[in-house]
Amino acid sequence: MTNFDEIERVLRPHKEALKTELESWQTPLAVEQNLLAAFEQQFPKRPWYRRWPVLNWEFGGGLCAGLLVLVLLLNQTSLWQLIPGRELVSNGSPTTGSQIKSQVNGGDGAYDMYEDIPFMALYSGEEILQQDEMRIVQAQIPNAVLASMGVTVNPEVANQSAKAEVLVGANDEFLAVRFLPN
Amino acid sequence: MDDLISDTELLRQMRQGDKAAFTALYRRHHAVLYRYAILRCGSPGIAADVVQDVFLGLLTEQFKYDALKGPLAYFLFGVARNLAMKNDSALQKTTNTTSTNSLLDDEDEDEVFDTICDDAAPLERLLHKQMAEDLRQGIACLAPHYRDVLILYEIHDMSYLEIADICQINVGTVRSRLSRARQALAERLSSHRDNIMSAAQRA
Repeated sequence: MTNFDEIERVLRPHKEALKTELESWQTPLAVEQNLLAAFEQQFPKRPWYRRWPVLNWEFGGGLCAGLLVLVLLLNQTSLWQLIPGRELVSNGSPTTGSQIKSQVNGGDGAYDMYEDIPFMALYSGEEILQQDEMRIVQAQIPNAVLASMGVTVNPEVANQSAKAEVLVGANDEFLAVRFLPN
Repeated sequence: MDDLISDTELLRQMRQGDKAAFTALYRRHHAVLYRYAILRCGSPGIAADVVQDVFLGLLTEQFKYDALKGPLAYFLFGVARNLAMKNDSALQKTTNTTSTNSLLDDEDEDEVFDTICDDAAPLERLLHKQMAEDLRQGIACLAPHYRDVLILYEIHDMSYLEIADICQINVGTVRSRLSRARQALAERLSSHRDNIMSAAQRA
């Protein structure tokens, strides 16, 4: 039997019958149950807080970037508020405690420029802490006055003056001073 | 709804621990694999084991699927075929120990029928129509490498190229094996029918 049609004629009815029979053949349900049990072992259920690592990298990256920007913004705001002069200049209410009112000519821009230069207490730090209200006064102090206060002054510049800011207390007493570059 | 999602996407979700994706994949492919396996192995029990092992291997990544090499369905058929071949080898060893006279090399192209067919478990409980049973028995008696191409072509309506891809053989080999298998099967069925007819006439 070599003819294709003849072979097909013999096979076709058997083939159709078998295909019909095959429709009723189903994989035993136990197979699916076993596989699902194996799946549970492969991927055990985790509590909700441990499912975060499942989040994809894109989402995680976006979340981290967003948080970083938020933290930077918050930090910038809080740093801005920590600048004493800026807060006090914009705030017209009376100052208390360690708050200092700037009276520097030229506004707070100049004040900001020298904020890194520390004040030196003229008497004691405790006296400064006890003050309810203080202000900063910018002044030109003759070097001769500085010499009389015990500050070493080069004789060649004794006739010149030094630019300084003085921390003045509520009763106009001088509390601290810092020298600014000319 | 699951039908709209590609196999590759379901597989990706499954690997992320999505149980529903795994279930969808299984339900999409298990039936055809089981029908192939039951005809290929001749036993519902072994066929169920084959299907289970196929999906277990997919789950544990024992069998790694590469989407670039073709559809998942062909990959699963290929894995099922390999598992069936392993089963053949085990069965062959058992047969060899009991009967050294029935040696048959699977790679022997001259032997179309497999000698172990008489020992295969019958499926009478599953098959109600005589013609379907005759064909099933005929297929079961084919040597495994003929059985593969015949089942995939005649029952699963696959093309030569698809069969070549699954069985990892060239198209020419698919053609020749299919031609020989069909001829052998037709001759067997014809002689079987003649025997029945003559028996009926004698009665």
